[in-house]
Amino acid sequence: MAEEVRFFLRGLVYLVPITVVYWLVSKEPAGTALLVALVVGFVAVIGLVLLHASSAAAELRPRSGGIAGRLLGAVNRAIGFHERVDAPPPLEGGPDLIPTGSPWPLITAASIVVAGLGLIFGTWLLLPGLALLAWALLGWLTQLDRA
Amino acid sequence: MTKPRRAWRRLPEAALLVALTGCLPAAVTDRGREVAWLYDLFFVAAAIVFVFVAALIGWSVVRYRGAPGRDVALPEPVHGNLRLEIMWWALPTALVVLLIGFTWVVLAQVDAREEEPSLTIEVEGFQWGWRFTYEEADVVVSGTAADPPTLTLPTERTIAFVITSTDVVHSFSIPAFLIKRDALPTRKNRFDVVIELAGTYGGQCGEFCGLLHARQLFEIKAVPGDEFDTWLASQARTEP
Amino acid sequence: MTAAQGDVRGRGGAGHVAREPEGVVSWLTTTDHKKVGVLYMVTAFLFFLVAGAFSILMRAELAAPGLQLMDLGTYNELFTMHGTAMIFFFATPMVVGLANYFVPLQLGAADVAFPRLNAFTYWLFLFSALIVFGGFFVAAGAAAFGWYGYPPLSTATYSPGLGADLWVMGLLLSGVASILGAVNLLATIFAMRAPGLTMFRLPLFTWNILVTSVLMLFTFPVIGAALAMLFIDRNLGGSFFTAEGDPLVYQHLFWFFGHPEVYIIALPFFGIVSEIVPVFSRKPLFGYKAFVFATVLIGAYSFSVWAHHMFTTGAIAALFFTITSFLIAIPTGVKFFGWIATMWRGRIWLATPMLHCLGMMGMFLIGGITGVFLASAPIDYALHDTYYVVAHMHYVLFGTGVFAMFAGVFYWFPKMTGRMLDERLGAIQFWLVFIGFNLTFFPMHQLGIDGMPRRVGDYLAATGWTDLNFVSTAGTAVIALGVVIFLYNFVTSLSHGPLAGDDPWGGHTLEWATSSPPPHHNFARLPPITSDRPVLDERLALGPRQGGEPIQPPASRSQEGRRRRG
Repeated sequence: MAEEVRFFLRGLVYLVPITVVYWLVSKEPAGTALLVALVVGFVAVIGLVLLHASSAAAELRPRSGGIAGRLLGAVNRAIGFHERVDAPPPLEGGPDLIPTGSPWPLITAASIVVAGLGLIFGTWLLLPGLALLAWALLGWLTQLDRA
Repeated sequence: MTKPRRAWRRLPEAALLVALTGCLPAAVTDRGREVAWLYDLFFVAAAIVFVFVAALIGWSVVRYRGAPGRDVALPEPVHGNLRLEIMWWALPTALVVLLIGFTWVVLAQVDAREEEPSLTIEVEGFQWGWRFTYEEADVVVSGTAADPPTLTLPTERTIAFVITSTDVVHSFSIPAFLIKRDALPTRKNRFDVVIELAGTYGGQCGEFCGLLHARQLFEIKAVPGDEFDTWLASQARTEP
Repeated sequence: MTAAQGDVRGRGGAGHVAREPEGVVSWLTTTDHKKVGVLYMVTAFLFFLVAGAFSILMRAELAAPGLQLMDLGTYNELFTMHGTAMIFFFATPMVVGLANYFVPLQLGAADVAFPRLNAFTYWLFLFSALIVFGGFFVAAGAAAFGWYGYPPLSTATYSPGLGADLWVMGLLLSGVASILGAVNLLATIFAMRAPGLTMFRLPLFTWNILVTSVLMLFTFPVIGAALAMLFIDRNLGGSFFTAEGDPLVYQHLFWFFGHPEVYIIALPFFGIVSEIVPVFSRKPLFGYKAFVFATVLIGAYSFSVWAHHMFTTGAIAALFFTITSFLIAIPTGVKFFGWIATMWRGRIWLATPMLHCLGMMGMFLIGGITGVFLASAPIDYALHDTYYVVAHMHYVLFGTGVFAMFAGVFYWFPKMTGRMLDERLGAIQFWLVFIGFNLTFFPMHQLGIDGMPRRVGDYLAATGWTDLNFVSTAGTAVIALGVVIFLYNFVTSLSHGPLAGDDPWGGHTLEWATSSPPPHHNFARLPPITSDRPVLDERLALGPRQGGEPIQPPASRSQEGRRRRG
């Protein structure tokens, strides 16, 4: 089993019993709910890591990507990482494996902030913020196609 | 660079001297006495740990000081030692278990509530002042930041404070009692004490509560029981 | 082709490589983890200076009883923004910045897993910090309810100002940035390690960042939820935390985030110390696996101790939280023993990074011990919300975090710039900050024991707190002097510092295997990785003469002097 998975399992070895104990001694719902959510979160991450490991293995074989692998590949490309995640470091490839600079992260962040301020100041700011956000996301995603 | 070297050697003793001044003030309540005792116990443990660890750090720096280029051979690359490592998981564990045990005992004593306290005071915090109600006598003492109230209390009797708030979170805190409790708008908090020493003790809101938090003061005047009874009777009579 | 790309071997101009922009635009559009890391660190340090200036103003006000410089409302804004900025806009982004720069280098990777997401999180963090600080420029002033913003005080009824809304929205957005940053770091550490770099060969800094990322991933959503509910209460007529709801739930949510947050900004600094101590003792880290285990354990424990910040609410299981909080002392003690055993029989080179590490150990020892006092519920009843807590928390966050940060800066500045910081100025700075820090914060223990509450802009002369407060204020001035010397050292060394070479300290981990500063794609070649000290292994393989010494010893000014004398 991968050390990455064992890392989270070790966390669960402590968190599962402490959740039970906390509920028994306190009967306090808010904290118990948070601890349960935490355990669920750990399990979810373990699942993701396993899924990623299997899909990465699948990607090594040509034409056998599987839905999960293709989905993760699409996510990777959308976020801007062009290479397979388990590839050896690009010792010789140089910069062509590293995504080039992009103005879109800055514009996207700015548009989210404008939209957030719109929630405070009113619709007159919220709507332009959302429009800006849509433009920024479009720009971010379409830049990939040209790269 | 001889200066830091000498200063490092002196650091533990200097720090210990300063640290030895840090003792809790003499307690004036029964609960406070327990807390002060526990604090002193922790302090002894802390002083031992501090001196031990600081001495180890200081000694290794002074003894094994070197510089690049002076001698070329590397020190022996020791990666670990199982027996040592077991020891230093065990040492803090033992200390922690000991301190948990003492805390357990004192916590029960400090949190203990009298079934029938001889006096119940309802404490209400508000922005920015306090309202104290003597439940049995139906006497109310109240004051604000501009004119802080004085809460008169008897010594040698169990007093129950029932604490709440009418707006934001405050904290009913009397440093000399070595105990405090938050005043929450949605709950009633309670702690009991017996004041053992007559005197005047300052109190102040402990939890930040807005603009005049720093001015939300009050005073506790602890007097012998008979004197208190006379005072309370006089208050009840003047009440409209 | 720019010069940076010109010296890259291999298929540089394969057609789909866009031209790298230069100047300001290159910083605005960068997705290079090193540039993003530098942006993070510089921005965080600027916020450190701003929030530090706030603390100087506060200390000046407290130097004597009465109100001399400001009214109570201004004081309340200052301490609120001091805490908020130090936690959210200095310590957390400084950690993320260091991780950004050095985790990929320590992994032998070309970049983080999601470079564009990485740039995005930086900009989101910057803008949200500016929103929060924008509170100073609106009519009602900035938020003034403490950095943990307890309702009902933080609801619209008691804090109606726009500054409070900006505070909530800014922290909400910076929380989103932190979550995405954590995902990025986690993915990087899990998926981008160089061949041979197994989990148990990871450098300790990276291990600590891994645990930190997990803490961030699972706790920032919790504060996000709390802030979102607070926002709804304030602006959309909700009643989660008003008197009809339950303000105590906010405290649970806040501290379920708040305590792990303390480790988010402490663990990486432990990691830095665990990197530097072996290098400057010329020995491997003693008990590598014990360190890793202790780190993971501290992370796991930190999820179960939150309500020790709520002992005085009287509404929590005090004994449960006392016990879980005490448990943290065990792995923390193990780290101390590990550091000491690493120095033991080593050959300690007391250069500025090591000096700062030793300062960190001393201060963390005190801060850790006072933490044990506060973990005991009965003692906390006496000391909660007093200056004792202020002292404890600054010993942990400033004494530990800031000293370790300076250790890291002196250690890695040569890697980032190719030049050395001045050693002599660094030592002067260390002693000034060390003395000033203890002058400022040690008296606060006694003030807390005497009952002085935190978050008060004024106190009565009759309390007898004046003298210790004056000493504390004087100490702040000494710290400020030390920081000014650092700034001078930093600025002059950027252009005039002695050239460092690739590995001035004789480092152990992969970041020392590349040039200083590293090229855009980080590594031209990697050494074979068969242990947690690949760079040292390769140097030893070159022959006994090289030993553990740096291949090019640093030509810092003071050392040149010593060599001439000797």
